[in-house]
Amino acid sequence: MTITTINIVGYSIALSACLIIGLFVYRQSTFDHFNEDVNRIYRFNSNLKGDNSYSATSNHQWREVLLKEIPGIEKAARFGWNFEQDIECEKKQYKAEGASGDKELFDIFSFPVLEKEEENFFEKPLSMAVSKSLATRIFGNESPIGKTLKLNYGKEYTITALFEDIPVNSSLQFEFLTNLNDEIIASGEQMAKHWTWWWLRTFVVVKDAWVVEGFTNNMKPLQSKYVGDWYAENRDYYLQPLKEIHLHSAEIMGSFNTDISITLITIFCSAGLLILIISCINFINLSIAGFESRKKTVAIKKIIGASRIYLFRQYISYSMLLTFLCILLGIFISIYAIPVLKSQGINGIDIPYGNPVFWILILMFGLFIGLLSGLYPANYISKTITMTSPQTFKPRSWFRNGLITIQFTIAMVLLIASAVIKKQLNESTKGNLGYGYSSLITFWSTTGTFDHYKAFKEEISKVPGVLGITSSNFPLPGHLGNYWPVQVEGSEKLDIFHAGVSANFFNVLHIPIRNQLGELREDTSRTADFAVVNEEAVKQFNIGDRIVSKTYMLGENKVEVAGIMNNFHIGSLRDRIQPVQFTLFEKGWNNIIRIEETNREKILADIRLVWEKFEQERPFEYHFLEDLITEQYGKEESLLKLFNLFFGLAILISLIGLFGLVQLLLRFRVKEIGIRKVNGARALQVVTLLNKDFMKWVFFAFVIACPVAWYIMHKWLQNFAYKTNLNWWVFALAGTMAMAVALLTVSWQCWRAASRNPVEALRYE
Amino acid sequence: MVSMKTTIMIKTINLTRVFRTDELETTALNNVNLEVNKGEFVAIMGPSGCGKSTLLNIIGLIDNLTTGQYFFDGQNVSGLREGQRTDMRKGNIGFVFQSFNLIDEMTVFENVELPLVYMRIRESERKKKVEGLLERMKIGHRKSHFPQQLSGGQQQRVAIARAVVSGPKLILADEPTGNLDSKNGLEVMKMLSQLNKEGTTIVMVTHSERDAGNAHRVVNLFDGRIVTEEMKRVLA
Repeated sequence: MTITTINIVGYSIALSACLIIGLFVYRQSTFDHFNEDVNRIYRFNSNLKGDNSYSATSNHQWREVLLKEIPGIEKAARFGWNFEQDIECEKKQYKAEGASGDKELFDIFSFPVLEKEEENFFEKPLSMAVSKSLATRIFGNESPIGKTLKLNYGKEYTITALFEDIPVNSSLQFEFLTNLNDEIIASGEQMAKHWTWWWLRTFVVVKDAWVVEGFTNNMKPLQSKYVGDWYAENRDYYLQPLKEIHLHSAEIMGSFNTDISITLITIFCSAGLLILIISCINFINLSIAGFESRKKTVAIKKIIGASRIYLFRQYISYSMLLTFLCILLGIFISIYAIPVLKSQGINGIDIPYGNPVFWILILMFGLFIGLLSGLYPANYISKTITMTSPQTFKPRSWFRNGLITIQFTIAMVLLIASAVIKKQLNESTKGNLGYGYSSLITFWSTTGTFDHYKAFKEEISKVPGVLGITSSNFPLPGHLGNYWPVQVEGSEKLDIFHAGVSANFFNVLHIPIRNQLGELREDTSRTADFAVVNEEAVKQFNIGDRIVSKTYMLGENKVEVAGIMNNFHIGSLRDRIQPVQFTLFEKGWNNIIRIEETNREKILADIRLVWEKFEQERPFEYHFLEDLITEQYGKEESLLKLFNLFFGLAILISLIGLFGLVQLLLRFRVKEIGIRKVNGARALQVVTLLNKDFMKWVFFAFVIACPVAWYIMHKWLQNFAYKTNLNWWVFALAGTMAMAVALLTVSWQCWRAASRNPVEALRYE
Repeated sequence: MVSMKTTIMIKTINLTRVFRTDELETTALNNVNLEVNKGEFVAIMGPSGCGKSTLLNIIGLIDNLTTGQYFFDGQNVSGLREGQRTDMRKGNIGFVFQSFNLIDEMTVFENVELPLVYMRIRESERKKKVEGLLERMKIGHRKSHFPQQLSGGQQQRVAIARAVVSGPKLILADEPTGNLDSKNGLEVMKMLSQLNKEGTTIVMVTHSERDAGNAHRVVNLFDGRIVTEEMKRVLA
């Protein structure tokens, strides 16, 4: 392979990577921008305690209040949770992503409604709107309006509207929407009047920016008026721009998919930029190295009378040609790479062929890079080559050593960073959640099993191989959305997340309990419910273990602390540990069963038989907790792959660069190698000598790279609740790898130069 | 390898050197038979491209022969590998080139010291030897300068110092005055003659009749063959 081939291949791959990263970043940073009113749409968020504990969720009653009492709010709509739901139509089963919400969502967001029964299509109870592709999936080309669907083996809904499929770059995602009011009515009178049940997201369209600025203060009197003064004191409401929701919500609970945070985008941007810088440095280095063979031509041209300006122009146009060739190849590589990425679960990268801005950008980029990469060599050529001694020029030593140092520093920072990022992502997906989640299955109750829970539980317990059955009122893995300020004697008021679990929950999930107050049990005859708090709550109550047997009011219920449980992650390792209290109750809708490791199929079949005794209509559908936890990280896994690819590429490109650089620098030392050999040096001595020379600078690069990488990674890790250790061996490994590569490249190239007849080196003159 | 006490420093038998490229085969040396006695000063002359430098390089063990045999100081060195040739050169052969071939990044002192470093001679001894030699060659005051800071004549004196510092039996000079003016050229030739008088065998490639005049014997090469050998003087 000639140097020019290496140059073109390396540069094309690099440009392709930059293009893909660019498109990916563009896609992510323009999420939700398709909405016409994107600059005026906000989400109604709150800051729970004024200590950066943000939430995207709100109570259903605020919508009315916002529209009525805050001037400048033009529209408001609520959006519940989107999740995969069961649909039945004419005995056929389907699964689709559905959510509940207000019909005004279609007014706020640019989701075109294609057909509707009447203007207010959610007027009748149990109405629903479906997307075009879902309608086609179920009904073919027929109009779905007026048809009915049975949702989740429960109620029948009538389709009253058809909407265009939601674009993939929308934060809100749903294939059908049911009326939120139906859900509020179904949840009962008490819930409907509740003010601190945070369970949905509210979106507003504002008239002007001043609405946003004064919003927090304008909310205070309303908070006092509708909920109470304590509520106004404890919470700040604010409006988060829709534009920021996709990338700036990592810290906000109950937001939408936050897998791709601004941190990740920064990482990708840095990777892209690094690839670009390294590849440009490479391009320059390799251009000079490749120019060696054309040196004579240039010298002859000069002798014949070519002017400097002529040679300069010639080289610039050559480098332009090379750059555009590489860009073209890069686009071709991308065209083939994008489907591969798609198959790995990385979507949303498309080359915008029809967009003139894209092509103008490419053109400008090409001109800029071509000029930048060509300028140095062109200048170098036209100035320093004289006809008599084309060899007299040598790059100054500071320049050469500087190049080696920069190149190796970048390579080593990259190596360290990728090792740390990989370690972090690996550990945060495989780390300990704080409870034993293997061999646990989970499923949601139906009325059949819930209403006869005691009998159901008893029968399940009798199944051979079942080690325990328990229940909770929240899904696991999941998150707790409800918190309440509680006051314990001798302690400050504390916002505590609360949920309910069966008394044997800790036992079944292997969560250690200490300072237990007698046997844990639910007891309806008592005046106070038993509750178990976690270590984080103990820490924040700040009265130590005396918290046990203390009582406090949780809303209208009196609660007595009956024990302290270890902290555990209810969702994933990404989530911060919050103060939590679990009230003990008899039964919840979420079931968790621990089964034996062996003979699982038989055990599951037996459980199914029990299920079918209690629930005839709905099939037994369960999940292994382990799978659900892994699934949470599905997106992370594919990002990890993308990350591996890009960083692998950056490392590969910097290695190609090293190869070129070493080759270039050795060319300037070929004569020296010859002279040393003539004066009695053996090949090995020469190789050792040159290696020492290189290694000095590589080591220097390592000294620079370590603190730089440490600082960057230390900053990056601040974004995670779980932080991996910045072990010294990561640095040592990266350094050793880079040095090994340098050693190999230098040795190989030197050996080739040094093991030949010395006269060949001298003849190079 | 046969080693024997001999008065012959260089003996080649049917020495042939062929350069091959993909399409072309060039015979640079064609059955050259040459003998050089110890203490002799031989000049090799001939037109450009006749193989003078190639012959010198092969004699100096920095290039391979294609066929034939070459005895250096009584040893058959035709089949030696590169490493063995390096060992053979060390301390035995010194080179002087037309373009000096000094290492630009090293000082005069370091350039001259180089062969001694590779001979693993102790530092204190190296210093003594190099400084003594530089004084003798009247460039002691420039020992910490870099080659680029010296005139051509001075550079060539440094190169000669480097060639002789290890006390070699044989000095090979490839147009040593080619890049010098006549005054400096004369100076260099004086030095070489002096070294020869002190017992060093010298083989020199040259274009200059005048320089060749310093030699005992002139060998004329044409198209890779020896055409004439004329004795200038009877050996002492």
